[in-house]
Amino acid sequence: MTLEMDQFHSGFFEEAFESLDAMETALLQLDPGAPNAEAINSIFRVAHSIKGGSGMFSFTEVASFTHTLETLLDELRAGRMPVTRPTIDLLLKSTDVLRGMLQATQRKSPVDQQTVADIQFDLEQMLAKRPSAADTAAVVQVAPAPTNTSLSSAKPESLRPKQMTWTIEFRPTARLPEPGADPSRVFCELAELGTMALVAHADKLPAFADLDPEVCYLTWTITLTTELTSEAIQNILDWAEADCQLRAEEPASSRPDPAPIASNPPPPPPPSPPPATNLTPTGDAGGNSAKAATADSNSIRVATEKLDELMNTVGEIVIAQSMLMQLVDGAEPPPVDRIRAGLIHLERNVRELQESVMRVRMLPIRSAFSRFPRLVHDLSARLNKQIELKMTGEQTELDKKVLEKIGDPLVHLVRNSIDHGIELPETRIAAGKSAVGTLFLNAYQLGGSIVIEVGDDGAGLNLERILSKARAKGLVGPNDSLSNEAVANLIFQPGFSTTEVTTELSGRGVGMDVVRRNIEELGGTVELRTEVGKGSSVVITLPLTLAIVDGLSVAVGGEVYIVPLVAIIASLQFKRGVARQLAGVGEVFLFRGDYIPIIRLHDAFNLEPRCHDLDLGSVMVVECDGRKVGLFVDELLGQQQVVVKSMETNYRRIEGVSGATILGDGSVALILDIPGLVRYAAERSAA
Amino acid sequence: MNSNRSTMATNDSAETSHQVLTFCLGSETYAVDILLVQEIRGWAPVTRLPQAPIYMLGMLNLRGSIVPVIDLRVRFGLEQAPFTPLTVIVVLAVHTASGRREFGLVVDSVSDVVDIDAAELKETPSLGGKASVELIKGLAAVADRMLILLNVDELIRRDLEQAQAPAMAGAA
Amino acid sequence: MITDPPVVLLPTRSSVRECAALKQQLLALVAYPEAVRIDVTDVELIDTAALQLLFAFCRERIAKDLSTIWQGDSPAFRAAATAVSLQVGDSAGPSSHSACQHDA
Repeated sequence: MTLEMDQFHSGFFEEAFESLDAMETALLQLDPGAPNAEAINSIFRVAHSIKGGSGMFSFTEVASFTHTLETLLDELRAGRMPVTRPTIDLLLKSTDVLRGMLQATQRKSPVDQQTVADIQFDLEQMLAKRPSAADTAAVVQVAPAPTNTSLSSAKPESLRPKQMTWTIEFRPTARLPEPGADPSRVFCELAELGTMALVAHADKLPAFADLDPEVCYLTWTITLTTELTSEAIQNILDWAEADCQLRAEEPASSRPDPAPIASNPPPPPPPSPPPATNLTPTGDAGGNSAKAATADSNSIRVATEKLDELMNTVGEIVIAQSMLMQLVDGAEPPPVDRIRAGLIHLERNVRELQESVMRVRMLPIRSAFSRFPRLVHDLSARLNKQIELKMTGEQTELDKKVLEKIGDPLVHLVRNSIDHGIELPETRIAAGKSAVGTLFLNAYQLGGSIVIEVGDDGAGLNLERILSKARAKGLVGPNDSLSNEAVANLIFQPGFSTTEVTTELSGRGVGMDVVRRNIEELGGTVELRTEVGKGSSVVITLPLTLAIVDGLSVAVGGEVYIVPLVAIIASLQFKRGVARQLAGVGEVFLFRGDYIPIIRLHDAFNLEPRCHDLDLGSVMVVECDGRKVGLFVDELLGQQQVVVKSMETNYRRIEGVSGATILGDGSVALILDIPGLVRYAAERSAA
Repeated sequence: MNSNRSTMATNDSAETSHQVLTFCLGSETYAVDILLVQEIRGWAPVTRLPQAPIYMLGMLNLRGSIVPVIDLRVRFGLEQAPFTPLTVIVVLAVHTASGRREFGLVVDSVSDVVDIDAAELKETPSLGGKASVELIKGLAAVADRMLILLNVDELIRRDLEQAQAPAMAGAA
Repeated sequence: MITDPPVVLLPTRSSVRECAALKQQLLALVAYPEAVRIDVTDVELIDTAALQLLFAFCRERIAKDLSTIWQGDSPAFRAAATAVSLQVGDSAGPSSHSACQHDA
């Protein structure tokens, strides 16, 4: 392949991966009961264009597979085949396979023929079973059973899937979970794949008195004969909390079918493994690793506006620098203060350039969220739970490096919510909730931080049990009293989370301390909020390397402060006598029918104001969480966009301040934390 | 009067002898590990912080970074001196567990760089009253002078890092 | 003197949550010199943790040459035991009684 062709290839691959992502999203949203014709059409077009592109570059394997896929999709969009859940699942698997094929082709490594052939066979099976015109209500089941249609008999022998026998050594690693996630479920699922024999080993069982009921001492050897791929097996094993060693054997070897052991005699030796190659599943054809790969890649997509900004700033630097040169090259030695002014101007431009470049590194959090629809879909199906995923704020931007590292902790939290937070439909109904649980992911900017919330409306945590366990472990003194938040956040303690939380959440409770450590390494904080019976949410706060805020600058006591525009409702000039004292609250005034409190910022910040009379300054009405407050300032200066600098980088968080910025004249201005000030007003009046 | 250092180091020095920058506060001579000094600059206006301790002068714009400035005289219990064009800010950059921190210390004037033998570092007797003993690593005698070595880690821990208990309940 | 052998009546639900209690109950009987009966009639849900516990109990008693008798029938119990390949009964044990025998 010549170099020129390579550059065309990269365009094709980029588009293809994006289209596949779109295809997957569309498939997840397809409702078999009411399939969206436009969605099916767009899915068809994706397959069609990938087929065309791959044919053009002579990627024959991709083209041939996509051709079959396209045929099936054509039947669906023409209404000649019904859209059923098995169809959708098969199409989802096909996108995984196709993604794997494209990745292999891109890397110039061999395509996994077996996997492709298997899914291709399934697709053709599905096509073969298309109902006749009279049979519109039939639900098609994909089964690897031989059929009599000419389609299957025309298949070349080499592509017919073979029966393989797999041996799986299964060693549970975690403490025994709830009945819903019992090892027996894994065995049942494996049994559905073909013929399975199971042998249990009890050699690790300790004396009865020493036995910890929550630890699984049993291990199993599973022998599975199936036509399906190692990927199908691995998919099931991935969800099990166990060490699994998977080995393949040819079916030709005659093996005695090991009968399940009785509890009495010593366990029979496991079937002696023939010299088969140890199959460790390679980079799976599944899509999730691919999605992670794109986020970790060394390149980045940049919105053109950001680049325009960069160009503008560079232009200004060029001008400032050439003006300085003119000064210096002029006839008489120029006055020092003019050179100084020129240098200050230049410094400002360089700073702007620095910030513009940092802005280029910011990406929307969408790419970290993108894996969740599929994850939630698969995991909730596996656990027989009904879960609706709601994501908001996907356009919130954060630094690329932070984005790459936030993925794993988020996956942990989502899995926890699904495994332990949201209850089974029966339990939910019995508790008076809807059968469908909600998992929400929310991202937004707050001052100099980005906040990400992961939560559910599930069972919540029992705070009393956590507290008593913590007391038992000595983490909390017997007479200490903790707020509810403090108790909830005990589960982040390292020793606590591996044992006590396992009991509390009746399962893994995996990695809460790991999650917290990951977040803290990013400079952030994590907090748990929970209410028994109502649900839980984890709130992650990360410092933004760069945030821009539209603000109104105000003067108070000789200092300049920035008020975020988004919080401002109105700014007013008072007339004499408008404000009045309200017992227990302080100064208030009537605003649109309500009395709202006044905060004299000079008091709050210990400054000497220009004047004390309310009618000689300005009052800005700000709002947060539905509560309004009037802020009294000396004067309003003007509106401007400012870059938020974190206080915590070099100092600490300060009450009432959400960050700082550098003004045009080089001085530092503090940005007001409106939620904090509103809360301060509420507490002050409550005091 | 700005000089920059480009190398940064952690506060621990394994060598037996290391170099310190000496500076004056009142009649005393203090010293700080030279590897921590990022630059020395003249006085520049700072922005005051609400509810800050009296020795915390405010935030300074250091080429785009927001950097806190501590008045070391006041911190050590001396009277505040007026700020003149000769007043100096020593900017330190330190790698801590929570990241790299820059901060400034306002001092009367800066002296020279001397070598201190770590073995010669003497313990600080309790000075009873004025100076904050916790912020002092030890005393060293060099030539005829007694140098008071600043404990930068402790200063960061007490004055710059987040206080362990948040000031208000539910601090966001 | 107890004339009837003690009966452990398994509840409708035995899972990892109830295991601590079940273990205590069985621990009191693990060295009981006469036959111990385990009644599975009411069992509707039983998970691997509970099965492991019961299996370990049986095995310990076998080692002490004591017998355990299973009685009652529960399809759920049988299914759960088969699902993890643990079966009770039908095997000769080292003592004169079948160490773990199933009385239907």
